Amino acid sequence: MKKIFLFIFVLSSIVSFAQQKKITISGKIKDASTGEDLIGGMLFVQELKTGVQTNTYGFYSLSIPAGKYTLIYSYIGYDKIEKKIDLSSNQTINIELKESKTELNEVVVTADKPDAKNVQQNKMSVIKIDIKDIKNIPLLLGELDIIKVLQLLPGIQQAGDGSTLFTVRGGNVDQNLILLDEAVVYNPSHVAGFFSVFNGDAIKDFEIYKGGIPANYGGRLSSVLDVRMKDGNSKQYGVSGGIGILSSRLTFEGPIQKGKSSFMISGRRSYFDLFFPLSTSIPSGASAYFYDLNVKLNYEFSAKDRLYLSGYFGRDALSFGSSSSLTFGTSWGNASGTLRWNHVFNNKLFMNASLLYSNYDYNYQIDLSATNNFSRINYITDFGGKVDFSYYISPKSILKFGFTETNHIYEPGKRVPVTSTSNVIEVDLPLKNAIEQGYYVSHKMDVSNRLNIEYGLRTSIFSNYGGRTFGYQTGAPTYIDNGRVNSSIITDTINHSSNQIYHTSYGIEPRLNFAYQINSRSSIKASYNRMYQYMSLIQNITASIGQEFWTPSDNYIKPQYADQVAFGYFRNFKENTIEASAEVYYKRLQNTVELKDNAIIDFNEAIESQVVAGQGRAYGLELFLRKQRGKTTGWVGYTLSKSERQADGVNNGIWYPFRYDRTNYLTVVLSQVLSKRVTISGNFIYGTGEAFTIPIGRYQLFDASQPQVILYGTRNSARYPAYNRMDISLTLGRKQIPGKVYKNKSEWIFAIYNVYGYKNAYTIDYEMTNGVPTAYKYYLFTYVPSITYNFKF
Amino acid sequence: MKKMIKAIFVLSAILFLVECKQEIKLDLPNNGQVLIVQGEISTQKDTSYVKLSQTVSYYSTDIIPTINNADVRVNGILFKSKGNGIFMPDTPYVGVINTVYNLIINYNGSTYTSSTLLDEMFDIDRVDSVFYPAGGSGPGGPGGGGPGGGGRKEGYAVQFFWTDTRTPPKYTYMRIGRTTLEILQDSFLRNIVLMDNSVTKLNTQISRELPRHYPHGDTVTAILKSCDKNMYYFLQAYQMQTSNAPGPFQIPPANLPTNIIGGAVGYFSACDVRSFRKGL
Repeated sequence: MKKIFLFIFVLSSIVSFAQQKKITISGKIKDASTGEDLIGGMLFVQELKTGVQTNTYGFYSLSIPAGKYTLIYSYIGYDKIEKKIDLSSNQTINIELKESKTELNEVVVTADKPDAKNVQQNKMSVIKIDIKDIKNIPLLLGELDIIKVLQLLPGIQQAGDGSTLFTVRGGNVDQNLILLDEAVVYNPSHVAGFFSVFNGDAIKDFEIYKGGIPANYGGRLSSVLDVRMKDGNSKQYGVSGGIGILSSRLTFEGPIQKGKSSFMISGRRSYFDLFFPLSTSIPSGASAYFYDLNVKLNYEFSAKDRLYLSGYFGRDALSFGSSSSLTFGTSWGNASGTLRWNHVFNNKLFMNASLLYSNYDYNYQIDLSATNNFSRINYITDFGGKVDFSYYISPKSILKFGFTETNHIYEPGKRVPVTSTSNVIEVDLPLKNAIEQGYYVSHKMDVSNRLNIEYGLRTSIFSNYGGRTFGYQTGAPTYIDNGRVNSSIITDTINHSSNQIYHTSYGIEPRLNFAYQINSRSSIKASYNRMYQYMSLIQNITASIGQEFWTPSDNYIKPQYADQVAFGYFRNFKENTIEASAEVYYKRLQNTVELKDNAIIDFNEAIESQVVAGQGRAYGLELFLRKQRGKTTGWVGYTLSKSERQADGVNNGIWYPFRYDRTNYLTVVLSQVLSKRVTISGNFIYGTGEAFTIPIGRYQLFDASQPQVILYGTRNSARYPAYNRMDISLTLGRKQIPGKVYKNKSEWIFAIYNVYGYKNAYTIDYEMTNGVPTAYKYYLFTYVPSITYNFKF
Repeated sequence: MKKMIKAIFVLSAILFLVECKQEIKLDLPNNGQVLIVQGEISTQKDTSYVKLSQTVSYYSTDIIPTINNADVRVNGILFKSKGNGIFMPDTPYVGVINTVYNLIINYNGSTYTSSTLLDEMFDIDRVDSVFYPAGGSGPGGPGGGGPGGGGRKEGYAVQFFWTDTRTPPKYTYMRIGRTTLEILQDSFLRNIVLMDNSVTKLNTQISRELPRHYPHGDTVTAILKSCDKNMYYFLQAYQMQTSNAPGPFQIPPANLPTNIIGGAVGYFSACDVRSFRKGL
């Protein structure tokens, strides 16, 4: 017994001694010119060959033994700062880094740190992009669009030519969690999906997780796109903006109290409807526009407390008819708000607490006559909050934990007559309500110099309450007859009291990432994650024009979940200037929500009778090679993949290709700095055509004056012609006299989207042309030139 | 420079807004033929029929074949072939409201069945016409402008009035003809108007304006038929699948729903019928 006590005493003494000797350095890394937090900024201790990077709020903490050290602070695109310190007590060191002039005018998609992060970090399937590094990439209509940049990366593919909707590793377009300053963005699209809601001038950076998703994220199966707004320049006032062919944007930012608080306000407005009269195919009296506004304020109360308030408001409108006689009009928009409090409890414990609000509403109005008119309104509104803690145990061990709770309110439909003379009666379907909760803990640790691991667990709970549900004749909302999915007859209506929870679903979501560094230039990585998703986007046309809506899982629609495993080999060349990776993944999806054939989704309260639970599988190989430094930069991405779906009653229960399954997807992005003023850039995309259902016959109903009906064969058994496109741009900077310092910046960007005008199929349709059955491909964009003038002063 | 910017400005806008199409050749599988059933039991005397035909392969230029050698019965009554795929009862035949009708077809060794309920229609109280002068926007049509037409031309709109006392949900579809209408051939215009009385006022006289304007001298005909929920959804899907809305607004292609059991496609419906003609 004495020996045991002696052992414990000695062990305790060693641990205590070791702990007493640890000193913690903490603080923030910021941009010297704007005061913006630098997310992923790096602190490296030269003598110990160890380091840490700032979290998503710019905060870092590192505990090391007392002694004399050389601290190196760095961030990609910024000059390093070396600082020698004699560390004898805990210290707060805030560092401001200056932007490196040599990096300007280069297209750089960066990792979190400029060194060997691609090899060293345990993260895989994650790409972080700084907004200022992608401004030269030629994009549709000259609009800087982060989602379209993402679509140039392996594993991420566009859902239709020019669309901002995207799929990740074989997932659906609604399986991507899109966050703007932590608030959910339910519809990332403007103008039927051709523009995203993200104004490049208001965005600081963004990160996308295709796999290995950390435990602090949940709610979607396939990816997380985490977008952060600029905080606003806390050093000086500034104006920036851009004038484009179809839209323009303007941003103001500056300090409220210098060094303590700042603001940023950024707006954007389209004006392409001004050109409608030039086109004979546009109905007279048509109107279409979008606008959006980003606002952010922040205030540093003390060295330990900082408050952020940010908001987004955007709207689309499309109408036909005159102002005095509207025939059809639709509008939709997102609004979000985030109130965030960062608090540093001590040098080791950091907290972020947020109050969040999101709203997506969509409505349309039909006004055909005094007696036949109505408007329809739908929306989803979220109120919630989250608290996240980061505990920096040691340089090799970080613990993260937290919780989130969101109250979702779904308006399935409200129909209101526009005039009192309308024959249409007012109907307001009962709201659907749910509370979603998530609790997580994750631990990141360096097991050895070569092996590091991050493991975590998330528990999600989804509770439906209030509203109204139905009982069905067959006990289920659908049944299969004659090989097809049919809707059951409603036999019962159950009204729930406003706070009554009538159904609860749970999900246990383990997460794991690990990396083993073979040597300083190469490593192998692996990841596993299970994700739960408790709501689905119901949409039966490709375009995003406000007809789609979100619906929760409930007592009939089961929550979707997915398991994904991925393995990767990462290798850097030429002192990390060239990064290469090869990743393979396998993803299994369960309870996917598939629309039955000819689903009736508009104003249908019993939406469960129009969908069927399916399953999916997706697997693939992703190769990525990129060069980040020098006059020539860019990357090549290649994906070889397969994605399939299966549902009883659909395609006779046989597995079929997912609509956006593309066997091959190749992207090339290159940028060449020709001089200090001139940069030329180009993109190339090649992808296997989308899957579609081929006709096997045709027949006539009613009489010969009516259109013939197509008889379709196996679902998605055929392919559109292969997709390919090349875009180029030329960036022309301001003339500069050597030696003169310019405070104001400006540039012209000339770009051509689809430079060789290839007619990529958007959809395929069938017509009788002079009595002969004919198939047509419809295409949208060929040779789309654009000019954008950007300025900053 | 200014001229160049202006040219690109205009070009971009037009290119962006106009979708284009190009013919393509598809490599289509050659599948077997499928039986098409169109059956209607009507309260109008001797207009009930069942029409049988078959599918052809998509690129075939053959005339769609009709079937005349099937055994067709509705509630046990034999419908005899009258040629062109049409089967009708020999004896005088009138559909009866609130009756369930069961169809049995034996053809080529296979049996196809279906069932439908004949629901009552509402009565039309009166029909009016309204003159619209030229200008502004509004419904299109033979005499109208409407979307894309650059403003409305002068013409007449037809309004009809009714009072619906039926317990919801009851479904109705309306076919509109411009000058004449041949009932058996169902020569309605492309836009079938569907009505669901669970969304309109009950026990109150309400009105509706036909969605087109017509010139002076035309005669407008409309036929309104009651139908069951299956037929309503069938017509809804038929409209969606044949709406010719390609591009971003195209719905996923799918075979039409059917209430025919046994592997055929098409519909079997029973209807109470009202109609009106209005000279303009």
